[in-house]
Amino acid sequence: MLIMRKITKLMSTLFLGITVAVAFTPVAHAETPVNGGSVVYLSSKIPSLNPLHSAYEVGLVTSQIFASPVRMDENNEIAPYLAESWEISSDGKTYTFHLAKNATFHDGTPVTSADLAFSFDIVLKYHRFGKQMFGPIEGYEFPDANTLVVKLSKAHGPLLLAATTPRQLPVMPKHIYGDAEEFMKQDAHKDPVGSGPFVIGDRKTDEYITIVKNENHFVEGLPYLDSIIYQNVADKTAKRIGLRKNQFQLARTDSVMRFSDIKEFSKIEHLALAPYEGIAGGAIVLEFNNRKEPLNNKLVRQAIAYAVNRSTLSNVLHGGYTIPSRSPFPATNVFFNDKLQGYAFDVDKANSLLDEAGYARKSDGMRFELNLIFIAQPFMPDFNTMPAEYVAASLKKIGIKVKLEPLQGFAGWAERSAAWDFDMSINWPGDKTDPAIGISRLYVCENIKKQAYTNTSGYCDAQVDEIFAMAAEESDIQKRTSLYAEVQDILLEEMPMLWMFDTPSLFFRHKDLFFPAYGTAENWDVMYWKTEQK
Amino acid sequence: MTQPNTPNSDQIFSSEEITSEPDVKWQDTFHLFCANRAALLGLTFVCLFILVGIFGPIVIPADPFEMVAMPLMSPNGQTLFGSDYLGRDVFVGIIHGARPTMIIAVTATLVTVLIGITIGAIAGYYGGMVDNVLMRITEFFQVLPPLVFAMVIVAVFSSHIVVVILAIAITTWPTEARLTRAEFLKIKENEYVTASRAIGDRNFRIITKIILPNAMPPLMIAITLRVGITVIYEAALSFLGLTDPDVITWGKMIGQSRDFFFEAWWTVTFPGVAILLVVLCIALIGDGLNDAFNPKLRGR
Amino acid sequence: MKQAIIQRIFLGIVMITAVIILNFFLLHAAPGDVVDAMLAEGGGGDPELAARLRASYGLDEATHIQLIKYLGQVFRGDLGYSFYYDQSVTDLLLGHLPTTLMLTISALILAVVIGTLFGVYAALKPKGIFSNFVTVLSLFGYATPVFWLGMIILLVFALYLPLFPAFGIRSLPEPEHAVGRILDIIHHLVLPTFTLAILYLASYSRISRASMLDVLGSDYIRTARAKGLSETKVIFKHALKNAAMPVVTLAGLQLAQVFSGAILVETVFSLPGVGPLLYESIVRRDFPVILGVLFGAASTTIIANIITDLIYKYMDPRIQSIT
Repeated sequence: MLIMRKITKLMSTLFLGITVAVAFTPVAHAETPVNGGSVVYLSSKIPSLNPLHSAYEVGLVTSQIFASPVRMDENNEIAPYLAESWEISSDGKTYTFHLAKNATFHDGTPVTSADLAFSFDIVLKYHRFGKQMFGPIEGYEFPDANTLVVKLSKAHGPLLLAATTPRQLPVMPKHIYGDAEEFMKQDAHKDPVGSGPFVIGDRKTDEYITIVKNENHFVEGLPYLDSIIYQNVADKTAKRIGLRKNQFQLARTDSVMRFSDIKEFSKIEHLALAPYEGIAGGAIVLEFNNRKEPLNNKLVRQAIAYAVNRSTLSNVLHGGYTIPSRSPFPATNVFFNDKLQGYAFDVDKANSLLDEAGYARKSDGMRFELNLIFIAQPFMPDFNTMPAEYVAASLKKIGIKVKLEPLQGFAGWAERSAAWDFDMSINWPGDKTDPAIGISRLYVCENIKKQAYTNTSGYCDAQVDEIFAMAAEESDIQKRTSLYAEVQDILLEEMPMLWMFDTPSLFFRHKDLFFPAYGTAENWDVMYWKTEQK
Repeated sequence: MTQPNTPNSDQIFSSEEITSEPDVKWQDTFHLFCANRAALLGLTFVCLFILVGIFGPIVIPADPFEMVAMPLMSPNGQTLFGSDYLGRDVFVGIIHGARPTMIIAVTATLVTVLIGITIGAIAGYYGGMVDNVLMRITEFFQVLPPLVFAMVIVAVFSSHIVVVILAIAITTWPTEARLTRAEFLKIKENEYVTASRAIGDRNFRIITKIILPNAMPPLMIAITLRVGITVIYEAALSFLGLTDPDVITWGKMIGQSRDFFFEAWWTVTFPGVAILLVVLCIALIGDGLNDAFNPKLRGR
Repeated sequence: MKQAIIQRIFLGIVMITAVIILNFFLLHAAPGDVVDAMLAEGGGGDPELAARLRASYGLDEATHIQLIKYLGQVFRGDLGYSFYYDQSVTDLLLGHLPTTLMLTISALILAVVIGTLFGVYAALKPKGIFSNFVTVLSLFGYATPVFWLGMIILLVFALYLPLFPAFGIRSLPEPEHAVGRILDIIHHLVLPTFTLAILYLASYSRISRASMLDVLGSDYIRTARAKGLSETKVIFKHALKNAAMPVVTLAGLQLAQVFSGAILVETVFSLPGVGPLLYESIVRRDFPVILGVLFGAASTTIIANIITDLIYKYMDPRIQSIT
């Protein structure tokens, strides 16, 4: 069982308190990596180089400029990066990181334990997941310049996993950022100084950003590539023409095209599809407002789940490139409960559940009306507009009239979501690798807040709260797995939201390019050309 | 637009004649218009589209939002114009889209014209301070790029169809206002206007009953053309995603399917052709009106 | 004359202030702000973080206080700071404006020049084939949605006949030579410029044709002809100048509209212009950028209107304007 193997390996490094002291060495691959060459990545807009900026594509650049304490290797195991080794105390409340002695920032200053502590603090304060990731941090000890002891107020499962990508924990130079008051408004974001494998090269706002090999990188032999160019192209037609003409060697499919035409592009000779095999996942969900009638009735929520043919949605409309969700956890999550199958498509059952709930059809054939908020086109229509339209057409058949309310961009949607002003909402919460970071936040009573991506559905159950809390502090892998399995059972029955489909990332790469599609798919320093490039 | 024919100032009117017989010779105009084959063709097509808008959904009662086929099927026996990304019938969409497209275009035009004529008429008739203030307001709306302002309005007040119509109207009325004002400035100097003022007619009556009918020819041409422009304007807003999801319009069909233009040309081409045809026919009518109102300028 | 210009400039400043005030309140009435947008885009956040960010961006103050502060900044020549882009709005605009100006101005010039020539030539033979062609062209120009046309042009001339680049304003890597770089940019601008120009070309050819016919029939030209001037001289020296006037007037007035068209064309051709920047900023509620763009657009239009007036006054207004 692949997933079980994944869990055991991951957890052994996470919780058993063993010292890992293997220096990170470039992975041996079937082909020999060719040093040098350049890759043009088909990017969306990269507005800023602030490592804590919210845009996804910003993270793809800053992940190469900054390094994180640890990283995921090709077996999805936690491997050393800036920290060449680390220890976790048996009670799970003390983490000790030993930083690589040869690690320096791009300006030549060594990376010290003070920088790491500073980075923890900044992330805790300004990162969107700061609290979930590093909330229990109480204080630090600095035995020497290369050793940092992190003290926690309670055991905290997700900490190490959260430190596996510079997207979540970039190690930032204290001597550069530390002096200014406001982290989010710093001149230093224009020319960020990190300790990662690449440095910023030539760039033009809204056009392109070039990153160039860091010749003094502390990891011997990396990166392989000389440079990576992030080329911003807005229009989909233009993107496709460029991809056909081999003007880009790497692209994320969902930003380039609609799922229905990936197949068409797979036929292009110089392109290959690189399916993501990492551990970060997400799902598009149809969030119900559990406070409001008739959605406060479990039968109604279940009826809606039965009425939407999610298999058609994924396999026909998305061309098979999304996966119908089977559980509240994405199937890529290490704690996914493999026994669950989700709700089948059954219109009769849906109708009878609604009748049972007391919502008979009226003379016009309709039972009641619900609104549905989502982010309007052109923002990722396969994940927003299309599922919304599909839900509306499906629910009409069981007598639920859906009033579609597209909102312009994230701001409009987030505002409605935060105000709890919706009946149903298309939401895309990522699991952020660990359920304690990305999943429990959607269900626990304590996180019912006037803010998007909290528990805006208003679902509240003492038992679920308790299980999530226990699992977050549990260090025994088996116990943790069975706790999460139990909570998935309960949630699937209660249906506080309909988990529609998992959204695995897919990349198009040039067929001669090795692309690391594991972990969080951001270790671009190990990306290389399999053959010599002109 | 070409110059409207100005009333013949040599004529001397009695006050009865002023009201009963406006200067524009509607009958001649009608005959001239009917003699214009291109304009008649345009009119026929537009009438046809209106008939489709009224009776189409009754004749073809299929739900345009219903997913009836596999997604992105090329035109075939089952779906005449193919299907879109959800498997919705493009042909049914175009038939059902005719009515909302027309209604939005006509309503938005009416609102535009109402605001434009009112402001233009008052400014042109009263002149002086009133004119000055109103023209500054008009200029204010003209320095804002219309699409930008419309985007802000829709983003602020939702993309409900009423908001879209108002956004179109608010951003386009200055053109009509300026045109009306120019006509009023010209016409109010005529003796028959002065005469009716002398016999004590009230301003409102002079504006609506005497000057406005005489200003109608260029305004009618402008209004006709405005309908076409509005169809395209709505399509542009839809292209940017600023559209009501509960209403199907041709512009929205293009906007939603534009990602598939590459693989499924029919999803974008057919609604695009529908827009092109309707607007083209409206332009032909506008041309015909122009020729009919200005026989001296025929063929220009 | 000088006084008139000063008065217009003063009016312009008042108008720009009004534009800012109106849009400031409109935008602040919009649901959601930049903090909502950025946190949601990152898929997370909590109320405390949101509050901290709002405070650091100065969004926690009352709207009118923010407005007063903003106006004060603008009068000192500072257009504020973009939260999303982490840079000053002035820098951001200076980075994007050249592309839009290049596109808009070259499209306008192209449309005015070719449109006028078409119109004049058609007017010389009002019943000829070319005249009919101009009529048909102007009809299609009026009836074609510009973004639709752009998509078709993109497919035909960038994919099926790969003569021009499909996106962007420059190649990567850029050509070494300065001349090469300029040619490269021109190469990138050909398709978008023509797409935008065709639309206006159509209406200008129509107008200049009508106005040329008008002029040719006027006493003024009849006198010129009677004086025995050669036909070429009559047409190019006297008639053309007057026939072009309505076109120039319209071009000045239409600048705001052309800017709207540029937004769509820039979107289709992925040009790094003000259009896409503005659209994204509206969607993200990055108010300083939106207000900055509106400020820029309004000032450009006002300046263009003043210049148009000057040109108009310079060209002898013997023939009455048709607009």
